[in-house]
Amino acid sequence: MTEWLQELAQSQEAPWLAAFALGLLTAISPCPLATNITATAYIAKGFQQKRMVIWSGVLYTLGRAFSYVLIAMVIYFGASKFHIARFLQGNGEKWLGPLLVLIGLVMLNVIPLNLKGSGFLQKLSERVGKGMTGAFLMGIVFALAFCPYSGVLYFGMLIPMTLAAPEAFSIPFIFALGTGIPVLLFTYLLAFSMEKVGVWFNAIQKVEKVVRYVAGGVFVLAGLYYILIFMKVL
Amino acid sequence: MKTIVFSFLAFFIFSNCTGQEPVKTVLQSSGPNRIEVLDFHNEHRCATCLTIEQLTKELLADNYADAQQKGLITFRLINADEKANGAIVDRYTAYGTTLIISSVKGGTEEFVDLTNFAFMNFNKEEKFKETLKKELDAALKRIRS
Repeated sequence: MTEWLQELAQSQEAPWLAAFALGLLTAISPCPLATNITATAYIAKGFQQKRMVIWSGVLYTLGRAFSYVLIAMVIYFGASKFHIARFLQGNGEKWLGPLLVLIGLVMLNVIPLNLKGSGFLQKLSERVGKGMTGAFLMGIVFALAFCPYSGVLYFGMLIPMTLAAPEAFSIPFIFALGTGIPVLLFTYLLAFSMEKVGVWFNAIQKVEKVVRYVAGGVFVLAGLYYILIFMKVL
Repeated sequence: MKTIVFSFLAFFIFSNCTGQEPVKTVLQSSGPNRIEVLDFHNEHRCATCLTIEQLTKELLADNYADAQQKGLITFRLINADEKANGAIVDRYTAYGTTLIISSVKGGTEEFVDLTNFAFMNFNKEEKFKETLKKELDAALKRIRS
C-alpha cells in the first residue's frame, strides 16, 4: 500500500493524484499520525451527534488545508521556502508536545479551566469546547507541526509541484484532503460504533464520559510522544 | 453529466508535470577533484532519516571502499541545526534531512539533490542503492575524465 502510494506520489502526469497520495503518505507518517489520532479522539468524543462528528472532521481537514494553502501562498509570492521550512521543522515538536499535554489535562479536569466572567475568553472556550471551531483550529495548528518526513513530502515535493502547476493552490488543498480523510473515516467509524455500544448497554451518558476521558488521555500521550521526540528519547 | 465527469477525470489525470526529477546545480568550488556525499539531518532524527544514512553507508562500504581510501569519495553527516554548519546548510539549502552528491572538478562543483528520491525509496533497498550507485558512478566518471 505504502509503495503504491509512493509511486503515485511521484507521478509526473497527474499532479492532483500525486498531491492526494502525498497527503495520504503524510497522514500515516509518524508525526502527523500522532496529531491525527489526537484529532480523531477529540472529534469522536461528540459521538452523540453524528452530523456534528462529520462536520468536525470536515472542518479539521479544512483547518489543515488553510495552513497548507497559506504556506504555499507565502512561498508562491516570494518568501523563502528554505527559511519557512527550517523555522517550522525546527519548532514543531517544541511547542506541540506541551500544548497537547496541557489541552489533555484540561480535558481530564486535572487543570480546571475557569473562565467565568472573562468575556471574550469565556466565549472562545465555549466555542472551542463545542467541537466544530475547535476542530478547525486544531487542523490549522496540527498542520504546522512538520517532522523530517512530512517536511520533505510538503516542502520538497508538494511545494515544487505547486509552483509549477497553473492550478497552483488547488494542489496543497488536495494534499490537505489526503491528510484529513483518514481522520474523517475513523471518527465516523468510532462515533458509529460507540453509539451502538451506548445503545446496547443503555448507557450513552457513561460511554460519553469514558470517551471524553479517553480523548484527554490520547492528548496527553500524543503530547508526551512529541516531548520525548524533542528530548531525543524516541 | 457524463461529459462533465469525464472532463474532470481527464483534467485530473493529464494535468502538467510535477517536477520531481533530481536537480543538478553548478557552483564554483576550490580544492582537489573529489566527490562528497552529504547527509544533512535535523537535531531530531526520524527512522526514515536513519535508514537513508544506513543504506548510503552500506553502498559506499560495499562498492567504493577503494575510492574512499584514496580520498576520492567522502561521506559527511551534517547536523543542519548546528550554527557552525550554517554556511554549508545555506550552500545546499538543506532545511532538514537532505541527501546530496557533490562532485568537484577543476574548480567547478556539480551537485545532485537526491532527498525526494531517498524519502520515496528508503523502503526499496535495491532501487535505492542502484540509483545512488548510478549517480556516484556518473560523478566518478566526471572527475576522472
